[in-house]
Amino acid sequence: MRYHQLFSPEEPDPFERRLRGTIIFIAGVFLLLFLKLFFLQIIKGEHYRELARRRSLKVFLLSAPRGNIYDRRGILLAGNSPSFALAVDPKIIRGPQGDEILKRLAEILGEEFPSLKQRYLLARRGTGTNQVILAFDLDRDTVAKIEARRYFLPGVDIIVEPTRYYPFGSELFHLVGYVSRINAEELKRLAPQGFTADDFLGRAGLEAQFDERLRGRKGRRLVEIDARGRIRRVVAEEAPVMGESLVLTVDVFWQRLAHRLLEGQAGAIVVMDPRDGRLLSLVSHPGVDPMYFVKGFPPKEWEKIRKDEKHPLLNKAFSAYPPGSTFKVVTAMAALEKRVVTPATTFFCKGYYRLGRRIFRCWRSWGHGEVNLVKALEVSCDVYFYRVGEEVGIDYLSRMARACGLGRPTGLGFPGEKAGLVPDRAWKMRVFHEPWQKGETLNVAIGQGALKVTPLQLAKLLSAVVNGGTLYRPWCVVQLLDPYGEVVDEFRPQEDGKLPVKPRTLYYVKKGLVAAVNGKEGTGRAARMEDITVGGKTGTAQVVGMKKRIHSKKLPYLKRDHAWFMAFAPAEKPEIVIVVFVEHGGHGGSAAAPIAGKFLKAYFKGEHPS
Amino acid sequence: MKLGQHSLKIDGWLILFVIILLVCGALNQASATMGGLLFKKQMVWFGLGFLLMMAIALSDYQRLLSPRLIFGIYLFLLLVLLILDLKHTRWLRIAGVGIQPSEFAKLVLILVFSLVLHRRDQDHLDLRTFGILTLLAFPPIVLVAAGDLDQGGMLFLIYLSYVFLAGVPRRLLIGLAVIVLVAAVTLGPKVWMVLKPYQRARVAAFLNPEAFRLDRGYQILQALIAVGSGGLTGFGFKEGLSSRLNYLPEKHTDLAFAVWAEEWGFIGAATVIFLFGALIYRLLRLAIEVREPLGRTILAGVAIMIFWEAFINLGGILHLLPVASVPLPFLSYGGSSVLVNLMAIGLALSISRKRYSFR
Ligand SMILES: [Zn+2]
Repeated sequence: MRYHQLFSPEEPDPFERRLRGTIIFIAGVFLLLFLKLFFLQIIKGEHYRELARRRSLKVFLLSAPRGNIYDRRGILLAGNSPSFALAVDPKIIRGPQGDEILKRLAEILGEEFPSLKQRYLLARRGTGTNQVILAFDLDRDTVAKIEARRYFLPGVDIIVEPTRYYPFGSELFHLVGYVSRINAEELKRLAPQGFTADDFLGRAGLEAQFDERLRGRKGRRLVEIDARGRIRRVVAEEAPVMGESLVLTVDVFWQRLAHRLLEGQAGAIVVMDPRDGRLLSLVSHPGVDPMYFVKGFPPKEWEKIRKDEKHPLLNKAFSAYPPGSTFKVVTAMAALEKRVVTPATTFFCKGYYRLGRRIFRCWRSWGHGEVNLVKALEVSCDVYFYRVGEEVGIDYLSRMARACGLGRPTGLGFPGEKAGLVPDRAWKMRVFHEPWQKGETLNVAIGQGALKVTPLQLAKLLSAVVNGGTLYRPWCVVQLLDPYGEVVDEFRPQEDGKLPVKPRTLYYVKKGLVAAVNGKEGTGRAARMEDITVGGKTGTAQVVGMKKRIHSKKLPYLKRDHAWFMAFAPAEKPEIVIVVFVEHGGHGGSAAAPIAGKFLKAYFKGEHPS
Repeated sequence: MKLGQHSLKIDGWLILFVIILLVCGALNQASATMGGLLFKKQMVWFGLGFLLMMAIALSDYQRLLSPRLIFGIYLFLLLVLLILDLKHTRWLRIAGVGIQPSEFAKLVLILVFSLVLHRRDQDHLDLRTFGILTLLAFPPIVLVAAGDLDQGGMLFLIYLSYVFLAGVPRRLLIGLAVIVLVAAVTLGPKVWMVLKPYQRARVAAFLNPEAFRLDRGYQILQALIAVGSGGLTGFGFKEGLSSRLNYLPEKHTDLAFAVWAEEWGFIGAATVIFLFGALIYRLLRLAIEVREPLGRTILAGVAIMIFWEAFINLGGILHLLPVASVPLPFLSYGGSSVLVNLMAIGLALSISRKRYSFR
């Protein structure tokens, strides 16, 4: 019963035998450790001491140039330029002698010593033991002064590092994005992957989306330094490898034009090739000069941008807004597909529509008279769409909107792209815990209410309408090139489904859109051209619900309506789709359509807007 | 049978060795971290760990370690490891303090294995027990290895040790050795090809550090220079060249012993190695003296855990083994490592108090 009593003392139990074996094994291993220690420290001690004295090898990381970004013609949109930074070694710059050196540096930099010292102490805390960068982007004069006094400045080094620069400034801000220096928190997270305090990260647009491909691989340099911290010789070096470069579908010429057309306003322009979904231009206005992010913001400038009611940091091309009458295209397709109306069906618009006790007004208070589908699109008659919207019903209408790509990101892949919102019964229940009201269907049918879409979604949708029904995923990068210019990756158009509509439906909707620009009473006449047929649809989205229609110009800026216009041309064989969105711009026909008109004239005829 | 006073006594040798090692660890961290914030943190861990050790030492481990509790902890550990793997991190953050569950996994495995062997008490390992051990070992090993290959290897070594400790029949042992040998010869080159480049680099850097001075070899070379240049008496406290001039990477964690050997020389380094040897020897001696089967298996496990930790770390620094990222108990920085090792010693102390008593 008692375990140990089963064995006589002379004969240990098997477990004990194995423990004794373990002791012998471990003793052997420790003897080995001991002997090796003896060998290293006593026998070879002098050898290693000599090595330690001579040795002054250190590994430095060399930052890799970021890949370039080119437009479709090969014009540089983002590149690198060398910049000089002032680095000091915290092991040498310390104590009273270190203060002496900092004083000399302060004199050269034209800075007060206390402030420089303070900056140094702060910077040192972040980087720990490596080089501390005291100043970026030195001018040539300062560099020359420091080089000349090198001998009196031990532990001070000028390093050349590639710095991002953006030749087109704010004009491509929202498309290309920007890079900025890694912050302390990110550094903590990314340090195991080899990031250091002087690295940049892509923050928005293409710079963020393709950050990993653009970044390249760091090089390393093994150098011998003397006891005073000066580099004596390079022992081994592994050159950094530049990141991959992007070639875009975007044309910087159209991009700049679109940017200029939005001058003084807030808004977005998306130009797409409807045949395969490639973007020719993606503009959000206003932008910010990305160099501010690279070099650091002056506090005043940052304050200005933060308080700007035009929100320069927000990419409006894929932010979501109520679509206004542009959505009538979706309602029209739903009506024809559900056979609620035929193209010949007419309704009489007397300026309002009655649903139960509620009155829904047409934007033209005296009415449009008899309208059929094409006419309704031409004059943007609200009553017609109230009526068909009511008969189509929210379930079918919301399903059609989703099939058109609304309510989800377009698949462009930029960080921050919004999904928009297609309201339906389930959404209403989830968010407001109330059943859907019939009146809300009427609002949705003319693009008001909770409905929200992005300019990019509308471009994708209109492209599908005019190309025969194929939804293409918007894309803007054609190729990735390695540092030698060889193509590493190539992108092709990607289909994202088909519109669930018959060709006949598309035919009549297109006819309505052509009438909206070319018809006598068309709302988008401002985009008309002489010899090229343009089709399009205006939209005016109410920002604040109002009893009476008040002219937008009389309202404070933030309460004015949003103006939309989406167009395609040439109508017979569309090769370009443009969506113009002007935030708080007022009426679509007068604020957005002329912008699209100017762009199309420049595009097809080379006419430059003055 | 000696009952009474003896059963309350704490094993003096064990606690003496641990205290000296803790003092060495404190001195070493004071130098390696230049007495900064990390040093203060480590001291807090030491204090906390010591209290925890004494609390466990004075408790009745037989009452403390109910099978239900052990398996409960085991399942909880698996859950935590799984969640961390899914979040791609090794760290569990509790109230701003980072904990490494992979460290605690070692102790949990020891308890679970000991319990299994105790429950199926036999002279030799039968196939069923072997199966149970393996089945219990692999989930945590795989989960830990996914985020930290070196710690996963550590757990695997503990598992292997337990299999041997349970007694593999001699014929089987010889058979296994033959199979491993044949596999190494025939499959070795193929496995080599399958290994990831950084894994290959680690072995290649071990064989020829000079040729890899930019990569892992840098670490090995600097560690060797630091240790070797220490000579007989070392550079003195806080005077190490390699450590002061930051040639040593990871000097407060993986390479902490190199700092120690550089500053305290052969006298100091040999003392630490001796202390580890003595500590492990004492634990195994106690395992022989203790007759209670669960207790002695745990004691043996604690000894084996500390042995592998010390051997892998010291062997890497002394260039007997490829460098693995494993902390040296008591000398390396790290709260989880300190807590786990001190808890294990606490358990050993508690068991040793009962070595002459029976229930
Ligand atoms: Zn009307």
